[in-house]
Amino acid sequence: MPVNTFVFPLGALLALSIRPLLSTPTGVVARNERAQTEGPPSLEQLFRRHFDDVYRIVASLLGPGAGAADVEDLTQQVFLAAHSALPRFRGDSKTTTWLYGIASKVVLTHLRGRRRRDRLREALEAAAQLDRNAPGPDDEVHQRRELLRVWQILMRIAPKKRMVFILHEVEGLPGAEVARVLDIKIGTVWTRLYHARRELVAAMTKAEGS
Amino acid sequence: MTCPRQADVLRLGAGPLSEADRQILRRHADACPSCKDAVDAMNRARAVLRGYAQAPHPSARVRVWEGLEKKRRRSGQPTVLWSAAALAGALAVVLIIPRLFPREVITPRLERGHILAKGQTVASGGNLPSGPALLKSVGPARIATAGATLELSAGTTLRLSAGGPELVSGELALSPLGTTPIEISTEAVRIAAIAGRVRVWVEGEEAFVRVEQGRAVADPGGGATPEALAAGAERIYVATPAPDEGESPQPAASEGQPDPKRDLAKPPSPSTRASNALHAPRRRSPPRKDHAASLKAAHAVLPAAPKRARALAQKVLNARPEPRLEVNALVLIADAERRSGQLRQALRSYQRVIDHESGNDYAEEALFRQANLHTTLRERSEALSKLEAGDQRFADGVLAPERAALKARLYLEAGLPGAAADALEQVPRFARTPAIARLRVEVAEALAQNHRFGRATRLVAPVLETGTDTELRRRAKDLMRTRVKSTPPGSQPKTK
Repeated sequence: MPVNTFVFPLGALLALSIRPLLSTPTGVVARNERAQTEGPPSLEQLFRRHFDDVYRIVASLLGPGAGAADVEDLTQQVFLAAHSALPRFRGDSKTTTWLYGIASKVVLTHLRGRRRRDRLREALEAAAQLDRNAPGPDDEVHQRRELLRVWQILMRIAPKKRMVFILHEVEGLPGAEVARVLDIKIGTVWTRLYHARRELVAAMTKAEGS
Repeated sequence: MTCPRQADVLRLGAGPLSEADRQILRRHADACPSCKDAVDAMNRARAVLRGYAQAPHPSARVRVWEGLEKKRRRSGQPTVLWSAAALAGALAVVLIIPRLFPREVITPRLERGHILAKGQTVASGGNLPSGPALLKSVGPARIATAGATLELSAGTTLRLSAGGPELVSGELALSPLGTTPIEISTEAVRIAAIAGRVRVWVEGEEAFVRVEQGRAVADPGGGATPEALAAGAERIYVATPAPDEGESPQPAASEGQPDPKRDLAKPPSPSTRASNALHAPRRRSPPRKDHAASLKAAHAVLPAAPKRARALAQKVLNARPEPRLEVNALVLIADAERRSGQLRQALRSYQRVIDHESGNDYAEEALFRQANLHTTLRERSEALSKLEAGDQRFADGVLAPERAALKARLYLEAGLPGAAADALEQVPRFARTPAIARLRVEVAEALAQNHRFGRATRLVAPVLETGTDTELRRRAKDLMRTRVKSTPPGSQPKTK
């Protein structure tokens, strides 16, 4: 029996009518088992489980120059971005890795503005100035001074390198996970880390020498 | 003065180093004052930074959540409005414009006297949607061609009619790959959207329709013969309802003569339908109309109650109907088993379809279904062998793009990006669905990791040319940039 086939232009029309309603979960084959059986978590679940992690990583990436309002604002932005990206989250990586990736992008975007960078730097300098006048020597004050001094140096390092340095050296993420978080190659992670270390050491040695 | 080995010392723990090298560097760092200072500075900085762990204030959690809720509500409203507006716009396009400019918009190439033969494309559309759950949100839409009307009603019902009588209605299903997002399969007609196009298979009691002066008229000649194609006749195929039992065939009208009595604006008369039947039914069991009705009922309940559909189809099968109905029942049984999660049984039933004497029309799809089922069961090699069998048997079959895409996905998952790229290169250029674009980028990224930048670039080129997904375009551009950065200086063309 012959199979008669005709084809007509429904594709575009259907796409037009349906596209606004679509998300992108097409690669069922690519999804892992967990994602298939459990489905993506809701925003509430994400927030409940990972608020502390996200807040901490945002604060850590911004440094002590950022006020609590900035950290809270960016944490909120991370969850908003995560909410809209949830349908595309395939569960290929750990939820924290995925959220750290979003957080690092949000922070990088935030730091892209020169004014914001300057504000952070000025806040650090002002804090350092205040600490210099604080009564001492006291362990806590010393720690605080050290932190501000190191952060002032870190702020001179390019944000991308700084981010790798913080994620690996401070947050303790292995290189491969840093690569996943920042969506870069592992080789790039090591290169950025090396340069960040070199710049940090050079600046610290110079500061201590003077 | 800085030690020349300080650079190596700073690479400790920042990349792959052998244990021996690590020991040597550590010993050097202990002995060399300059390197020792550098390591000490690093350790101090690390300790200070790790001491700065800012825990959120308890009230911060509440503040952030409240702000989040507020923003989500605010951002949600315009999204709903935009979606509604977009849907209304799309419906306007689908419903109003075809009425104003019927053929110009819907079947532009029919206007130019395009001949529709088996497997030919009238016009290829854009990217088809994917995302199974959301298809249910489709509002009513009606798309008319010169001879047939496709109706997409609320829910997931697709209806094909020709100038009045309903030819077929059924449920929409989606393939997991996203490249065959829409499929409707009934006893008489199968409709599938593949790679941006919609194909309609018409079989069984088919009538052939010719377009003359903008009107669809019945063409009892049937088939697109080379002579007819050469003569430039416009021809499309639509199905008519099954002929009643005991009807006597009428003489066929001469080709090229419009016959108002057979105009599809009116329901086709029984005599016309009988005259169009190409093959006389080989009856093996009582009233085939009953079997056909049972199968139709089975199709109707298939989405909601696959087990009931299976039982109905099995009943037809047990009555040993004619081969065509038998194979239809088998397809139904296989589909019902697949839907109710009996994947192994579904695999066997699809095999029965493939092996059936009248199963050739369904074999390509059955092979592809088997490949999909093996993929779900994580049996990669079996899935690949089914895809290979499909390629061998239906080299230019309508599911060739689907097969190529699934093959590429499987090879990529097996860690063979080269083979995946080979498979993707078999996908025709018109097949530019989001799923295939994503696959291209993923395979290209895997290739780039193996430093096969040239191939990766070629693979993502179509995504950059026509891709609309911003994220995919960004990833494709990143790949291009990586290539430029990674090109060794020696490979630049030498200039004198």
